[in-house]
Amino acid sequence: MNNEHNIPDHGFKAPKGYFGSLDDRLMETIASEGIPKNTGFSAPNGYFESLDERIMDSVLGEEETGKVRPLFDRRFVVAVAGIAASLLLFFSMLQQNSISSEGVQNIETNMLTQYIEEDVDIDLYDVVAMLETEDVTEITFENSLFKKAAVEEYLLDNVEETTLIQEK
Amino acid sequence: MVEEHTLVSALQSEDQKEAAFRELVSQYKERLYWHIRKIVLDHDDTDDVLQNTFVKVFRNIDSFKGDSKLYTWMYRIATNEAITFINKRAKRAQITSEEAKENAIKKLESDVYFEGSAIQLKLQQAINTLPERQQLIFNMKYFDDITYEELSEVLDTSVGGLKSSYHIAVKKITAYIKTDETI
Repeated sequence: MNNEHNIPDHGFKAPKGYFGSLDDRLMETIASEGIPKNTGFSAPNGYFESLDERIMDSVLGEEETGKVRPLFDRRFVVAVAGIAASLLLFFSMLQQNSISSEGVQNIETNMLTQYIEEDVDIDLYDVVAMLETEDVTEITFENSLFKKAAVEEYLLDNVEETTLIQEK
Repeated sequence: MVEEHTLVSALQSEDQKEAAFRELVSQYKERLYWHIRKIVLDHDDTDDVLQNTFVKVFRNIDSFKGDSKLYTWMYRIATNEAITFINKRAKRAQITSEEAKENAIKKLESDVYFEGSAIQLKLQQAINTLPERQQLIFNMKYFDDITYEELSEVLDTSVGGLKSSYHIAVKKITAYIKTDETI
């Protein structure tokens, strides 16, 4: 990593103490531009006084009603898979004449995606909390999910150029 | 104020968990509220996200290993919750998350819980022009005075990267405000 103590590979050199004083100089610039240090946001009167109790109510209420079933409980997975298979079979038979099998597959994926995104209150933290080390080793990713072109497209669309420079 | 390691031990023990969590809420509610507020902008939305954040903290406290500070761990959860909230709202409205934030900025002018001056409103508009990550870095560094080391834990980015992002963000904001002044 290049810093003022090491000679950088590219041959450029910054003045002694340059980086140490950079923040102060930046703050001076901001102050000279008249950028306020306060956001201007406010909260309703008494909001923070009653907040503790409301948070405790929602947390304890959630604990009582929101017991999360382990994601990798085998019996649970088997039961869910059985129900899902039955439903799929039912809908497939019901719509056999009007929708192709490809269409049914698409509906299933879309419905699942929509359901997970909008109705399931679960995120990375929940999933990580439920995973054991052996579960992680059991996970296999389909190659089709990570095709080179798709990864490249994702990086181009989502990663800022500066991030790449910074992480070097 | 209870020491962090004492608080974490209490939070992870069954018999002290509830009392310790009350202490945690009392210590961090305001800081997390203002952090979330700067991302989602609206008070009621912030209230929802803050409650979800504490629910997640409570639910996952047993998996907190102490590799980072408790405070930065909660900041990270709050940040994720706030961004997820904006993305979900945008998806429901079938707009991009940038458009959702633009809408929120427009509402600020008539928001009774925004008492900012014209320059403060302009600052929010300027922040909104930054990429999401730069917005987070600017808000946490400029308004909350979080150190680069703590920011590095929250955003999982190198200190050098954060410094450069922050400097770029400041330049863009000052340029936006200057340009806008000349119109």
